[in-house]
Amino acid sequence: MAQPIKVTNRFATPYDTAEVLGVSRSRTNRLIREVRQLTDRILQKTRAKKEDLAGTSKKYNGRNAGTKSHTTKTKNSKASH
Amino acid sequence: MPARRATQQKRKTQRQATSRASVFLNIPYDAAFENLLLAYIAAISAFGFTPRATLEIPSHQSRLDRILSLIEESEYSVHDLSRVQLDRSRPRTPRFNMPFELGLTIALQRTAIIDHKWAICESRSRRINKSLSDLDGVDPYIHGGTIQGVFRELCNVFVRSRRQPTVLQMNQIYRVLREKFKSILRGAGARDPYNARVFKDLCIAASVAADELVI
Repeated sequence: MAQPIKVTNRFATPYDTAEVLGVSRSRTNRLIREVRQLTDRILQKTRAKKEDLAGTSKKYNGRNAGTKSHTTKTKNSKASH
Repeated sequence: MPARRATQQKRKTQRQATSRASVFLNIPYDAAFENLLLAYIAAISAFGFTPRATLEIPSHQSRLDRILSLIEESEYSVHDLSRVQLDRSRPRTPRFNMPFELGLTIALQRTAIIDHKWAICESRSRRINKSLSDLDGVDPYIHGGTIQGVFRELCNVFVRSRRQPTVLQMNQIYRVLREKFKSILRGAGARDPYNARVFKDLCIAASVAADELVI
């Protein structure tokens, strides 16, 4: 398998990309505005999904704990009672 | 020779100015490759690079000169050699542009741009041993002709210490490109993405998405 190429370059901003490709400032700004609407939606969805998952995992723990009729005790803790 | 030295200096300066992050993308331009073109743009942008391709070349310029300068201006290049079969239009021929541009890249890397790094992608394993046996000993990255395969393999090609993108983030960038694709085509009055304006708009859209989504 070939060795991966280690990248040290700075992460290109949309304006860097536009400059390299020779795209005008106004067209770049318009594209940035339009694409940000889409990315905001994706970020919102991802955030909602994460919150959902966090909620589910709590419920899951609760149900497991609820079915347990007693807790296991060590010899030492039993003796202390 | 001072003139030659001046040209070399000019090229070096140009390279440094654009070396922030350019990847020369050498791929087939046909309808069947449309999804993979978007996948390549999404993945390359996810790494913080600017994709470059011969699509940018205006028709009035000398194509070969422009290809050479595009390769020289890019720090990296990705060559997709998966299209080796005959095309559909008559007279039916295979496309020699991709292997030719790979050859130009290797020659330039050996002589003028020593720090340039290149990678080869294929859709089928071991096929390159037959189609381009001169490259024996070079391991191609096999994407299997799928979008996920392109994402996976480009994650194997490049490694970033900071802001290393995940395949999930590449998928999100791809989704953004897909959603914007029709309006970009309409804006350019084009039918396919193999057009300078469409390609540039897609690259900027991918760059915006990458900047927002890859943290």
